[in-house]
Amino acid sequence: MNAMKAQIPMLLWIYCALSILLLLAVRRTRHYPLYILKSVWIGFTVLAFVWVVLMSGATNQEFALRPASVFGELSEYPYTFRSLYGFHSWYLPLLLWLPLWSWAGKAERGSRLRKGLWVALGALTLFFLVPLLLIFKRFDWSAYSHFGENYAHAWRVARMGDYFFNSILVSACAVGLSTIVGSMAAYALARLPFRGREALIAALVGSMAIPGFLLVVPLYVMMRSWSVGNFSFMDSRVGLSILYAATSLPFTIFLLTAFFRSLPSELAEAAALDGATPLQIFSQIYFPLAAPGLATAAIFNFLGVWNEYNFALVFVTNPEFRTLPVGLYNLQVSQQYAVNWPALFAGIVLLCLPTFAIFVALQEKIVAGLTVGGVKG
Amino acid sequence: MADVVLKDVEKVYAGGVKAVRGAHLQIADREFVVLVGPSGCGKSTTLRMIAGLEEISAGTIAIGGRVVNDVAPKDRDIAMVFQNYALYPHMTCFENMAFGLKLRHFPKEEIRKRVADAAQILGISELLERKPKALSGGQRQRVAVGRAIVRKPDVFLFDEPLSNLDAKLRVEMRVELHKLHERLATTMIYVTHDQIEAMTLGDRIVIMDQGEIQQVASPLSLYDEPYNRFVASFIGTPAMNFLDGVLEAKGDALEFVGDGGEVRVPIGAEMAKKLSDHAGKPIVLGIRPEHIHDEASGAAVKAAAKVTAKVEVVESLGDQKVVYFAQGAHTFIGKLDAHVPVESGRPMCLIFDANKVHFFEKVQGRNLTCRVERYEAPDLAKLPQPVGA
Repeated sequence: MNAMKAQIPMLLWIYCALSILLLLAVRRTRHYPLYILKSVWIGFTVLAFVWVVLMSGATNQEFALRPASVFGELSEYPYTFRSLYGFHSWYLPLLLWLPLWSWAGKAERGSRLRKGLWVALGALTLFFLVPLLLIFKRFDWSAYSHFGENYAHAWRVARMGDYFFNSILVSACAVGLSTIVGSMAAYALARLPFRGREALIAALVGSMAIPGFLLVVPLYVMMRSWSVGNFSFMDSRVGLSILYAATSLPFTIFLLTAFFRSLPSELAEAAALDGATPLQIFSQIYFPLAAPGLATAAIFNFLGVWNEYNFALVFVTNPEFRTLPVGLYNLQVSQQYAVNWPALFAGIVLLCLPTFAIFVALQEKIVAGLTVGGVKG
Repeated sequence: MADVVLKDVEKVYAGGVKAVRGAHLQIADREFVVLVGPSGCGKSTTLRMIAGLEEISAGTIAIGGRVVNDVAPKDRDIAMVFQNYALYPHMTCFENMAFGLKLRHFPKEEIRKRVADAAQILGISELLERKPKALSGGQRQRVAVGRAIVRKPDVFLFDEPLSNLDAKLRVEMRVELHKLHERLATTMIYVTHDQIEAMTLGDRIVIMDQGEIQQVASPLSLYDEPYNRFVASFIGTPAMNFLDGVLEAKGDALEFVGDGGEVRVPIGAEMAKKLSDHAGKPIVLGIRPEHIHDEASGAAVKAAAKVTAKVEVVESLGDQKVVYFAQGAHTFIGKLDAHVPVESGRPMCLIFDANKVHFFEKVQGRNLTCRVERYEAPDLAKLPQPVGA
């Protein structure tokens, strides 16, 4: 168990890296077989999430007995297939499926052949889905009816509700702050000529290479000694928001500088002649026009800040102000030998929901925003 | 309403490149002045300096008697139309046109009235609720002009406003801009690289080359009396022909003898007087393609010079033929009637109209035959009168 635990982060990293590579490769090459691979990949991600969601409704005992849940029963598929149809080659429909699909896609639009192929494809799909449905039906679902109880436990007893609120507050403040400050800085770097501009951009890009965790000790010293009146950076959600905003600034500025550069400079000149002050040119012309870039930056920063763990652990010690990742970890640690796994999974679902929703809904847009500046838009 | 005066204006870029040198220009109130020249001649830079979008390295610019060197663009009371329209993509046409008025805190009623008036003048009343993305190039250009005129500025600046339009639309918009100038009676400064636009629109034309003003004159004087060889070659299509040669004294009279001795053009008494200092010196003869005739149409020419040249290429334009000739070391272009029989490869007898030729200094390129000034004053009587005056 312990050996497996140590493997998990590494595997996760590889998984993330591969996902991003795949997305970029698909976009870059427009190689259509890669789209299928991408769909399969996203399918696996969804399955993993489905498993977590399933488990968040199970009992602790069910998790201990059958950790693979209904997915563990999938090995029954060939037997179910044989008992249903009477022949062994359960993989045949699967093999037929792909060529049939591509043939149907290539057939002339609206032709009879195409319609026929689609019907055949549907029939084939049904053919190998029926045994699957049988397995699902046979599975004992009675242990998976504890959603309400588990989520209530996570939300109230494990205080996920409070942490959720903290996380929302901190992320919203941090993202808002970094978007406003970052867009202004990026506009200045992209549009206003001043001495040392290039050096400043280089410094910003360079600072992206510094791992945040290296900064924990100096930050700790600084934040502990900086306090204004009653306000202290330590143990404060505002302090944490400011810290997050600051750490996400280099990326925000880097992304938005490219974006502002891709907007025509004549707009600024036209607005200046129309009587706009530099601040009005920024706020009324360039800021609204940069909306796609701002959205990309905001989403990226949100994902980063929402999942951030190290800073939240070190700089917030008051349990009142914990964010979700820290709270989740605490839930596991505090229970140590009597972990309520389903409640933990419920917490994971709560943690993942916003990011998962954002990524599924806006995944194409995020990648599109990232490539802005590469081509003249 | 304002005049614009440039005094010794220079623009030096950071790398030491001089984009504009010693520009001297007096633009009268209500005048339509066109800056024209090849790319990189400094015409756009000059315009942008008047607008305040570029800093002035030396000299002064005054608008309406006020030196504006250190005045921000928004306080110069000017409006500019850009080549790529520069409409704000996230605003509707109405908002685009109202933007400047809104920033100047005009009352809402006044804004609505002014935009509606401008839209009516330009025929874009139905497009006001659309965004620029949903408009064609010509419509966008109209909105851009509309944005300029709602403010009723002292001076309009146009930076190649028609060069993104197709040929037919360009002609239409050209006529409309002309009408607009008559109607608004405001000073307009217009930059283009298209000499036809310059000739048709401008009360006066400023020809620039390599950052220097070559000549300022009305379209006709530019054509008839180019100040130097550059102006002569820039105005007119096809461009003026230049033939190298010497002036030879022939008793009292002078005769131009082209290099090779085959081209001989006698010089009339009046012109000979102006050229007397240059007898025996190398010189450049300039003749426009439309002043080269075939034998039949050349019969009416009073001072004719016969030249025999080989036909190289013939381009038929329908009503006319553009013919490329070679004569020894000389090559030149003639514009002949479409029905003149011309065969490439064959020699052909041509008539040069000797009264229409120009002579240029070989090195400096100064026109020796016309005693024109580099700067011509505007003809104030011809300028449009403001409505109600």
